[in-house]
Amino acid sequence: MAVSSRRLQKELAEIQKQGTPVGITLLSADDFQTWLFSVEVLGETVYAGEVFALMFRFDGQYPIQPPAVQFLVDEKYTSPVHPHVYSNGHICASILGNEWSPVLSVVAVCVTIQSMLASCKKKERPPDNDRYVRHAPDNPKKTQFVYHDDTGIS
Amino acid sequence: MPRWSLRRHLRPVTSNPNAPDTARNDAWVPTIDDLRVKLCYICREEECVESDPGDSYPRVWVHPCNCSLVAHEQCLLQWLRAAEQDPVRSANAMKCPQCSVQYEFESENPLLLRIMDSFSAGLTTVGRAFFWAGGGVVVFSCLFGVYIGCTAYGSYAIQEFLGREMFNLLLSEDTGKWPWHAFLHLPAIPFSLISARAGLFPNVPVATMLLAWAFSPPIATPPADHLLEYVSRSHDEVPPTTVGAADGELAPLIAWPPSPAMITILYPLVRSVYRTSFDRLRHWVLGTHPGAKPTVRNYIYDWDDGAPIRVRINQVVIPAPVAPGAPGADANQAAQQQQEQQGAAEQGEEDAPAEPTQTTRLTNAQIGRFVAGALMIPALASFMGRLLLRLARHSPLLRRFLAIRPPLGVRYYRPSADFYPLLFDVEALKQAGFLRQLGMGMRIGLNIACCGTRLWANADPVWWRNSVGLGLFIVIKDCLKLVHEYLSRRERETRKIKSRSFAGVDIKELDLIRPIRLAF
Repeated sequence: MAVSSRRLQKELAEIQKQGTPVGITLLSADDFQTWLFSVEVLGETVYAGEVFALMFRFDGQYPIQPPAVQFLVDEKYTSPVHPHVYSNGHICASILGNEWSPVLSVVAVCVTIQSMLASCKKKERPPDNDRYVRHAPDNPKKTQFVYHDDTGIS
Repeated sequence: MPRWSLRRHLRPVTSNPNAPDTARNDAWVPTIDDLRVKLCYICREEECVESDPGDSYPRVWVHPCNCSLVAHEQCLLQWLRAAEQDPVRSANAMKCPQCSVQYEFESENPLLLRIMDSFSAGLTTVGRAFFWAGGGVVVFSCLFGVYIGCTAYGSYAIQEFLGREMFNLLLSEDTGKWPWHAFLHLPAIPFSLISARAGLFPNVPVATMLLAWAFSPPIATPPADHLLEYVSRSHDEVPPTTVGAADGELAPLIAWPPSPAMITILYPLVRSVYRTSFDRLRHWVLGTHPGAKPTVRNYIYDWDDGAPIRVRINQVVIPAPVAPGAPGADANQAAQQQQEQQGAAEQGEEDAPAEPTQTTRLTNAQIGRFVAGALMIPALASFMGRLLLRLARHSPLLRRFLAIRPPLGVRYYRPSADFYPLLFDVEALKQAGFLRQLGMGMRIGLNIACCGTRLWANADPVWWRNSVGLGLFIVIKDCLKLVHEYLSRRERETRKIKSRSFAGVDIKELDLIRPIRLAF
């Protein structure tokens, strides 16, 4: 079995054994290509009552390469209105790009995205949302994001 | 940044290299091999001392930092190699993600590899330098080509405008003899002509084509054909030269024909007087009144008629005479911009809005016509000058007005080294007192500034008859344009629609005053 599947198997076993952090639920992990989590921001937040779906796509290179992570946008779920999240669900976060490290895991990414939403004060789209969404590739990993903040999430 | 290859290996740093040696002796420090359970932070595989290692080949473990993270050496190497592909990522990857300690490396790095590496890096630098140098050469040669072309045109323009003889004395075919300022003024000539035609800096061509050369010392001998020409023409009637040829004599400040400096001063004056009076004439002929012109003009650039490439420019133009709504205003507008669309002009007349716009369509053909017209000016001037010269054979008055002289030929030539002594008596100046020297110097300076070098006072003033000829041409052209304008205006005003009889229409459908009884 490939390294990526072996590691995902271990991560999945860990999730099943220890559970996921508060607000994060595993929706589906039927194979080692696509996993789905629901993410909810708890406490005082601009996203009160909203539930989002986070989609992970893995290639055979995981964890050497980061997974492709985006919010699911379909008839049931929408993309959160956030300065670093585009309306097609793509996320501009440096840990999914040049600050990825194999020490991170699927759950760790979920927690980071959750805290990114939790720290948001004002719901607004990125300034270049329309232009980006018009030309965006299907896979967010093909986009060269420019990260603006030094907070690590941008 | 360290370079990676498959042959290199990562070795655990088992102790702090900065720690004093005594610490190592006094206290026992555990290493990676002392851990019971090892968990690779990359692949999450565990290895227990108790477990049977026989199921797979033994794997090398490393502890590369100061925290508790450990990893398989192969996993870590794979991760670092992958991160190295991306320069932005590699900075983060080269240190521990938890405690941020920089990884240290040991590898086989023989002298040969280092030499080869630095050689390769050197070649990269050479390549980069070559790229920029090559690009620079391409750009530079393009610009230089344009420069050469403009300079060649400039020398052609000078030859046409100042005449062949002046060209040979001031410039000659040999570029090596050109004065330094020729390399600035010649290439500027085409640009000055085009910009003058576009209405920007209308006085600049006088400077580039005439004034700049007035102070230029002569450089060359008149060629043989001029000698022959002179000999053959020496029996003709020759008006006396304004300036004597004797050495040391200065040119008078006021002379006929006017000196280049004088023309430079007079040209803008004459031009504006002419423009004003011609405008008045035009309004009188066309029966229009001076008024405000549309302040915004749209320029539409068409690649060619009907092609999709279009550029729009909105330009604010200086108000000029056109009364919105006044009779004949559209004719006036149409005349001022021949290319403008009829519809737009009429709209401008009817609406008379606060900020009316005119639309001007520019096509490649029009731009070409415009530029070619500007660049034709020296040739036109030369043609008109020759025409005047021919006419002057039959009129002594015209001959006097044009101040036609024989070519200088053998009568005037001194090599350039003797040029300045020619202007004044050097010996006399040396012997004179300080004040007198100052006075003479000032007079010579003033003289050169006003009259140019003596060459200009003595030579056949081809440039003068060319200027006069060009002026005549402009006047004739303006008059012809005005006549055309007048006639087309007349045509428009007298235009009527021809009325026809009702032949062919059923008479029963017409409500007639006196109905015709029809016999059945």
